[in-house]
Amino acid sequence: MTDEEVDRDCIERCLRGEVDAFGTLIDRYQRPVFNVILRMVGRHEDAQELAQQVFMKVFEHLGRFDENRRFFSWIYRMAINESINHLKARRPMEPLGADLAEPFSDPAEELARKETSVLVQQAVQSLDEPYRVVVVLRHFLQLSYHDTAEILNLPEKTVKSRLFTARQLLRARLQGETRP
Amino acid sequence: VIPPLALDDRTLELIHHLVDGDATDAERAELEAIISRSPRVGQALEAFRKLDSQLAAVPLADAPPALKPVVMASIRARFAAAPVVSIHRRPRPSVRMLAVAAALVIAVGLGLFLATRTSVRPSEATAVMGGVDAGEWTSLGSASTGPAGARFTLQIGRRGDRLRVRSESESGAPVTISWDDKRFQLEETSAPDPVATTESGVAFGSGVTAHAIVLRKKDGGSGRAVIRLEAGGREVLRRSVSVP
Repeated sequence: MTDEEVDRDCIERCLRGEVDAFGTLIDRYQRPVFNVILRMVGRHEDAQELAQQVFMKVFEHLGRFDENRRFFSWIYRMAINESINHLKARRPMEPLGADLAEPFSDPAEELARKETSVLVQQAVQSLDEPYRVVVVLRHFLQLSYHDTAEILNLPEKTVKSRLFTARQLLRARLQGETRP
Repeated sequence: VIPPLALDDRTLELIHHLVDGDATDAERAELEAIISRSPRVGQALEAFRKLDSQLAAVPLADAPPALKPVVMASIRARFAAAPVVSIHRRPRPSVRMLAVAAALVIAVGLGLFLATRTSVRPSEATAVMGGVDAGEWTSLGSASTGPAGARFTLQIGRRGDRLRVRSESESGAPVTISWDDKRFQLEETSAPDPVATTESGVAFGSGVTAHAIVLRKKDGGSGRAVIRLEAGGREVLRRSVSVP
């Protein structure tokens, strides 16, 4: 079965009352959904709570899922909307990025890499939402322009344009950060 | 901070393709020609490549271990009383269907208006309409449960010693309406015919979203009635009503 067929099978089973089939969907999407939210909101605790809300909403609305759409597009869209709503409610912006650092096994060897990783993620966090979201989908989830455009309901050309601007802004901010 | 470069759409496209690793040989050659005329474009390309590798080096975080158990526990708790039970999706109304529905509403409204204008008395109008929905019923309340798209609703009306029980299953899931058989007996059911009828319940098949039955109190006196709606072998709604 293709990924899409697996998703559809799980959805149909859920709609037949097999609640456990939803566990398969969680297994398949919890990591990317959590990462989308984490990269958007910046805080691990908030991301966990929002990810739970997203999966609950997905389950509640399974009966309304448009079979003509792809499931991943639907769930990522929901994750992005939840993240943006959360950010709007949280404004004015609080310091971000402290939870984005990843633990490395060899601190001495990985120090520079860790610093760069944190700087990159903080630079992503500093982008306005329209730019941040394309970077998150394209770079962290490795989605194609076509898929990114479908999720955001934008023309591919707009996605490319926003990504290019986002890359310019990131490059400028990282240069500013790393300058002596 | 380096100001954003003003690039034309084609150069932008070429840089994207190259950074993303999608550029053809012809596109590489085209971009190289542009870079030879504008070295700053070349510098920008290298900076974008470096940024791309920096972004790619950022590790994905693992989902919290508690995420799935918490979600599954919430789902089981919240929907235990109303499982999503149907393989039948509620069809999405097309523009044409909506137009037909609007026309029907107008036609029915017009018909009722004309019926009123020709002074049809309530009893006569009832006879014209006929069936389970005939006449006026005093509402004894309603209840709903379940997620959107698979919601169940129970509405109960009373007229004299009769109860009209209407059920709705948004997803078209098969339902059973049951009652206290010592006090009430089935008098009428809505179309299509139920798949099974007993002394205390009527089972309807799948694919139809709304059903109705009329119950009549056996002894004609007052009392309480407990009406239950079941789906997927489980009780999803229960209403207790008084019959004076």
